[in-house]
Amino acid sequence: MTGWPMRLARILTVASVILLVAPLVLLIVFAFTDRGLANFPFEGPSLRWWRALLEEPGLGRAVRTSLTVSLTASVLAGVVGTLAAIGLARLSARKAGIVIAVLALPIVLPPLLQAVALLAGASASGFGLGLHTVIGAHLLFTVPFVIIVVHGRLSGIDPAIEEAARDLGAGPVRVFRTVTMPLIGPSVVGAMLIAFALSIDDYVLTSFTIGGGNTLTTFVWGMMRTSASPVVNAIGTILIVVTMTAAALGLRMTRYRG
Amino acid sequence: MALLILDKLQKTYGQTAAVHPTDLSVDAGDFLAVLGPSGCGKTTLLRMIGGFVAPTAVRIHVGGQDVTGLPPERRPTNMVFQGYGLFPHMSVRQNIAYGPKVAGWPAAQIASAVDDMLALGQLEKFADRPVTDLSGGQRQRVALVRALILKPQVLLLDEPLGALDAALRASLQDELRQIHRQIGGTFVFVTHDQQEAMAMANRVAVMNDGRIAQVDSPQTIYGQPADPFVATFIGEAALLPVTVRQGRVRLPGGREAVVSGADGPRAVVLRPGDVAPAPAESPADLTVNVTDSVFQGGYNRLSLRTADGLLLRADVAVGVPLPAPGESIGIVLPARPLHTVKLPS
Ligand SMILES: Nc1ncnc2c1ncn2[C@@H]1O[C@H](COP(=O)(O)OP(=O)(O)O)[C@@H](O)[C@H]1O
Ligand SMILES: [Mg+2]
Repeated sequence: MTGWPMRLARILTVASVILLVAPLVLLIVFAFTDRGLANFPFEGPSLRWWRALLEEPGLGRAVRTSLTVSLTASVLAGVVGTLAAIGLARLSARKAGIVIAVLALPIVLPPLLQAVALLAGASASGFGLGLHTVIGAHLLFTVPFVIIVVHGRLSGIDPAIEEAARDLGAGPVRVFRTVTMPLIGPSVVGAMLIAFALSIDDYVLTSFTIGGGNTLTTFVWGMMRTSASPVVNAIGTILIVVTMTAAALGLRMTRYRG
Repeated sequence: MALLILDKLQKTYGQTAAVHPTDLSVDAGDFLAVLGPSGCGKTTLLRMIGGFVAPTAVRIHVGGQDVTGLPPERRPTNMVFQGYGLFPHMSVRQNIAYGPKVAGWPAAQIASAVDDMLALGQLEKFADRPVTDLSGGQRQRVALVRALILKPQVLLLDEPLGALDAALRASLQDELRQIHRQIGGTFVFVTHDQQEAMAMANRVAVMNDGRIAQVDSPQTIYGQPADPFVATFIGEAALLPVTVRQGRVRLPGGREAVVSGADGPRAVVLRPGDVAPAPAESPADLTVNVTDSVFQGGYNRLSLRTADGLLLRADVAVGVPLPAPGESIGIVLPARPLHTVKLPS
C-alpha cells in the first residue's frame, strides 16, 4: 500500500488510538488538578483528591475485597485452566477446537445475560450471594481465557520433547515437573496476570452477584451516583495503572518465545 | 542369540494396517537400517520398540526380557527422535545430563559421563549454550549423545539425518558409523534414503506397505533382491521378462544363461553395471536403441531401449568408444548366473 491509501490508514490508526486513549489521559490529568472535574482551562496541579482518597469511608474495605476476589479468582483460574488445558491437549485438534469454542461462550456472551443466569442459578441452588458467588462468576470468564492461552502454548510444543524425557527414564509426573511446567510456566503466570486484570475491572457480574459490600468497581459506581466526587478520578487512575501493568506483563509472558 | 526380537509385531489404526504382522531379530552389535518409502510404517515400527505406540498384537523382547507391556521409561532402549525433541529450556550439558539425573547417578559420575559424551559428539565448545542456539547438525549430535549416555541395549533413530542438507548428511553419516564402531552398540535406524541405508548399516530391512520385504546385508539386498519392489527401490534396475526352464533362460541373442529362481515366467534384474556394449565381432545378448548418453564424471551412463520398449541403463567406462544416441547396438549381460525375481504385477 502506498500513496493516499497508506496515508489514510495511518490517519485512521492515529485517530482511533487518540479516541481510545484520550479519556483515560484526561481522567489521570484531572486526578492531579485542583478542581478535579471536567473543567477547562486546567486549574493548578494538586494532590488534593489523593488526600481525600485516604479519608474516603469504605474505600479501604472495597480495595481489600477486590484484592481478595481477584487474587483468588486469578490463582484458581490459573490452576483449573492449566489442568483443563493439559487434558484438552490430549484430544485431537478437532475435538479440542469444539471444546474451546464451547468454553469461550462466556467470553462472547453479554455479561448482563450471564449475570441474570448466575443470579437464577445462585438462588435456585440456595447458595446465597457473597464473595464466593463473585469469585465463581469471575472464574466463568477467566478460566476459559487461561485454557485458551495455555492450550495454545501446549500445542506449540513438539510432542517429541516430552517423549524424549519419558525415553530417558522420567515417569509422567517427573516429565511434567521438569519439562512441561518449565515450558508452559511463563504462559501460565502471564495468563493469571491477565485474568487478574480482567477480574479487577469487572463491574456487571460483580454487582449482580455480590449481594452486599463493595469491590472497587461497585464502590466507584456508587460514588458516581451519589456524590460525583473527583476522588473517582484518583481511584480510576489506580485501576488503570494496576490493570495496564498486569495486562502488559501478562501479554509479554504469554507471547511465544523460542 | 538375538538381542532384539520382534515376534508378530503388528499395528492397525482402525481398519488400516500400518504394520502387518512382522518378525524381525537384531543381533548385538548390528547397525540395522529399516528402509522404505514414506508412509510404509517405519516410524510406527520404531515407536513400538521404543514404547511410544502400543502394538495391536505381539511380543517385543530386548536382551531376553519381554518389554511389550513396559512404558518407554522402563525399556532398555533409547531413541533419537525425528526433530530431536531437545529440551529447549536447558543447555547442551543439561540436556545430556537429563537421563543420568533421572536415574539418580552420583553428581561426579554424571559430570564425567557428560564430558565423555560432549567429546564423543564434538560438542565441548557448546556445552553451556542453550540448545536453541545450535545449528541443525549440532542439535542432531546433542540428541544422539543424550540418548547414548544411558548405554541403551538398543539405540533407535528415526530419520536421524532427515532434516539436514546433503553435505552435512554425508559427514554425519561418517560420524555416526564411527561412533557405532567406537562404542559397539546396537543401532536400529529408520530412513527412506536408500543411499543412507546402504552407506551406514551392516543389515538392511526393506519395508513396503507395512511389511518387511527383505532383511539382508546391503550387498545381498543390491545383488539378490527378493522381489521386484526391493529390486527397483534399491538403486537402479531394469526388469527383463524371461521364461525360466530348468534354471536357464534363452536370451534374445540366442545364448543360454544360468539364472536363479524357480521355473516359469520371471524377470532378470539388470543393474547399470551389468549391461555393457558388445565388443566388436562378438555375439550380442540383446539389441537395443541408444536414446541418450550422459557424462557422469567417472563414467558415461547410456540410456537404452529394447524392441519391447524396456528401458535399460548401462554404465560405460570413460575411454571406451561411445555409441551415439539414435544408434542401434548389441549389448552383453554378465556371464555369471543372472538374478531373477518374480514378474512385477
Ligand atoms: N496415530 C495414527 N493414527 C492413524 N494412522 C496412523 C497413525 N500413525 C501413523 N499412521 C498411518 O500408518 C502408516 C505408517 O505411518 P508411519 O509409520 O509414520 O510411516 P513412515 O515412518 O514409514 O513414513 C501411514 O499410512 C500413516 O498414515
Ligand atoms: Mg517416519
